[in-house]
Amino acid sequence: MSALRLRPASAIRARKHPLAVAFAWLFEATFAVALAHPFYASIRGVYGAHPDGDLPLFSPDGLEIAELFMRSEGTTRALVASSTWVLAIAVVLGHVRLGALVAALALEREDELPLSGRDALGRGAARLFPLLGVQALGALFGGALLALGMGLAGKLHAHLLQTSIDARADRWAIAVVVPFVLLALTTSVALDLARVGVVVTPGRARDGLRLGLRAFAKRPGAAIAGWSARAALGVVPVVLAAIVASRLGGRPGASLALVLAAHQIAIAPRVALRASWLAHAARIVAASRPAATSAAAPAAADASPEPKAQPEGGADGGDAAAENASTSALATR
Amino acid sequence: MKKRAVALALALASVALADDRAPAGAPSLPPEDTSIARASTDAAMAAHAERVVDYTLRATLDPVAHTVHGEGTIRWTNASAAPVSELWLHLYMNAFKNESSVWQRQPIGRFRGGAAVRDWGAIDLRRLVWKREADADLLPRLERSRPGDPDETDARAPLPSPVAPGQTITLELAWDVKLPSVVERTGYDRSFHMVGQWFPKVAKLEPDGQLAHFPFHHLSEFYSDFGTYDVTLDVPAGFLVAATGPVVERRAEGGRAIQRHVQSDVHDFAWMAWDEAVERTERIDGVDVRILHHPAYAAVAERELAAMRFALPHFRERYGRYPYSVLTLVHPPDTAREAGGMEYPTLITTGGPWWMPEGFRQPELVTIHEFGHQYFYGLVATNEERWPFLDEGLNSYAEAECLRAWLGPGSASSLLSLGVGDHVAQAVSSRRFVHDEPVARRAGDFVLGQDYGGLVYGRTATVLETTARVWGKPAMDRAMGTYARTFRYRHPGPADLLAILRDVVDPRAATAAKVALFDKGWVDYVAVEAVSRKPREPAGLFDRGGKRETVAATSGAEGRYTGYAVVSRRGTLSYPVDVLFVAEDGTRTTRSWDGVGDTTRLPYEGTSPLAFVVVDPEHKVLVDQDSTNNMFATGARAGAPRIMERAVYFGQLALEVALP
Repeated sequence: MSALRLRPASAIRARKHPLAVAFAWLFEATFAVALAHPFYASIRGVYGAHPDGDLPLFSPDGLEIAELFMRSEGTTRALVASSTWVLAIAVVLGHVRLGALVAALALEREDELPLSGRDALGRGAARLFPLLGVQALGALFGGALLALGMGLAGKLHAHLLQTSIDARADRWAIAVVVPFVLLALTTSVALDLARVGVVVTPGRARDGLRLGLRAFAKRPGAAIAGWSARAALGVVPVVLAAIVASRLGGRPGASLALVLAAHQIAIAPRVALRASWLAHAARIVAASRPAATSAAAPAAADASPEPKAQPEGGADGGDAAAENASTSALATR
Repeated sequence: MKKRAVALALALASVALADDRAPAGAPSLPPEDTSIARASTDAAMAAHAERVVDYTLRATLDPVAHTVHGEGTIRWTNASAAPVSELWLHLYMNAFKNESSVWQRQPIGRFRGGAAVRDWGAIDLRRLVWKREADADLLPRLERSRPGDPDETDARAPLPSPVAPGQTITLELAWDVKLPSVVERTGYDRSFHMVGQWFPKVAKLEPDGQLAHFPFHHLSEFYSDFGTYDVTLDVPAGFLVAATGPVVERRAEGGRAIQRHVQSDVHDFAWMAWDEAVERTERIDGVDVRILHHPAYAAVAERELAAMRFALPHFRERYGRYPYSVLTLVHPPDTAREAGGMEYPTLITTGGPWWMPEGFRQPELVTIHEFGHQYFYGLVATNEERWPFLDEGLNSYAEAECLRAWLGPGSASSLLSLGVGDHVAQAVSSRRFVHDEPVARRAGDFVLGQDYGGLVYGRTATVLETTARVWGKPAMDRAMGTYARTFRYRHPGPADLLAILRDVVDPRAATAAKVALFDKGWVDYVAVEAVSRKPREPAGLFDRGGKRETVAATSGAEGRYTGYAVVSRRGTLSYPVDVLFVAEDGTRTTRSWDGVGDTTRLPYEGTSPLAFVVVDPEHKVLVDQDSTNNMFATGARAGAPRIMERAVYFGQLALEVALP
């Protein structure tokens, strides 16, 4: 297999890799079907005997769904247990997906042949365990942050309740928790950069991790802004889909197709936004490479073909710097 | 005076009649010729209650020590037909005095009042004198507890001489209350003071001269005679007060705020004092509605006022005019939630956190429920200890009926397209307790709080909702309206309710209600089997004209199918049900089954093979124990594409959270 190297920053664009994005969506959809099917089969086992199938479960007073929920307590427990295993497998394999996606977005072959899906998956699979390590690190650190925030907020809440109305205590507790939640989210942003670093860096994963974290430390604003903008944008399709589904849900006929379309139209841009964010993260990581940045960055900045308003790099003034830096410095095998 | 005496005699007779019908245990239905007034209009309602007991009290609150000093007089009339030689006084604040009270000794779990008492409460009677020519001090002979039972919530006061029927006596009394930390409807939470069951209260006098007295039990509420309460409340300046009845006098004195409340035709008095409260008032349907709440709860308070704007005229139309000039709502802080969700005459407490999202209708539900108690407890003053389902159950039905009329089918919660009706929540949550205990039993006899909650509230409401669905809501509306109007200011029993169901709705409705409430009645309709085929000549060996012929099976006539569905009724309740037949070509036909037998075979005939059978497709029998077995498919089963689509979508969203 030919060696892999980082693409020029201008080429690290999710929109240039629709097949990779489609693969990410397909991966998600496949596991979603695996998660959903036991619930579907269980419910069909009951409501398959109704001439309208599962339509009664969408009755406006919720009688059938409430009764089914109450009646299938044991079944639900078993289904949730089995789904947890599917979810666990999805999470593990999801690291291969992430690695493959980052590779597809950010790497190219040195022999200039197109990077194949196999190449990308190979890179993802090769980086599975390091990525799992990053995940564990993130879960520990983020969890500790949240636990600390909750603990402090709980103590403050209990203290304030002695002297003031619960609403005030609640609000102060929330005010205490929010910074910890934001810190945990920031951690997850940093970890994404670390993940990208692990995927694009040859050799020891530790170097990649260090590279990613150093990249975050150098340009935290660009990273956080890039992530936040996409996260906020990602909420929009979910809200729109919820509105459409609430208007059409539970009606017979073509409404099912419309709701399906609305939901998948909501999911697709979210997957694309995730890919866009990873591309953005890759550009930041590339820009932080020490070896070539000093020489290449000024010229590259002038030569950048990417307008700042580009959705994938709009907040990233240093994308251009990443371009030259990445081409020269991040060749990988 | 004469007019009043005649009214008193009539009232006594009606109370006696009601009590004659009230059974000790499971009631048998009254005879057909019962003379229940079918009062469906307000004109037939009593204008006032029989005035048995009047309280003139004065209470002084110390919000730092959380104490109330009280003094005053009780004017009590022996309205029974027998001499009375002892009085029973409920000293319910002693439930929180120590761990020897009945309330403390019988932890019931999974219902309200489960929190530990952080600060004990008690009531100490300092003076109890029968004012007459030679004043009689009743205090030395007062029996605060029974031998072997240290509970001090139900005190016996032997009288030096019997009180004759019609005789009125006056008692002078003084007492001190130490409020507990908020627990089981009463107590304090910082400067919030909810003061209920705070004064020595004479037990309800029954027509036979006995007093219906009982200790303060975890699940039991109250039962009292009607009368007039004239209560002067003395609190520190800066405290807002909410209390039973309108304010007739208000003044400030030496850093204290003093206000006098007077209300007739009620059977209890409670009040609240809080220096952090703000108030809003609004005239709704001719009633001055006032709500007190912390400023942080303004949004929730507005929702509760909105609920009252709908509920007051709605209840007036169904159950008669709300007869008082005021209605006061108190929204306690969430840290004092045990004081919330409670009813007193003209005063109710609501509840719920300040942040409750709009889609969750807890504030509206609690408000309407507690307001409904102004009718089913306040005006129709049933014995809440003996027959708790008569107030809580009927009121839960009225609450769900009102909420649905106001908010539509998703009346309990409605988030996007997911709605749950209040009646659905009641039905589904009560089903699991159906076989545990009978609905119609003493509050104190329930072993588990969850049974009490599920059965007394939810099951009763579901039985009544089923009655409305099976025999028609107009009939049920008439029945409830007749019951509420006929027994306004009276104390009916279960037999009175059943008689009205029989007379106004249907005899089967009354029978079903009786079995469901008294005998743990249940029902489960099941679609057992469905078959159809083309009709054809019988095949087989036939002896015709002295010869044996073999007739082969034919394929039958085209375009015509006959068959049947087998439907079973399990359980002890019986309701008529519809059975839906759906043919393969989509043709739908409905047949009725009277639901009297155990199992029946219903014929099918159509132009297409029978594909599905559904018993009770409209869910009229809401008490059906399991509606998931009401369906039968003869062949291919229908799909569940909507569930699959939703599950996949939510799976995708979940994966987006979980995946790196």
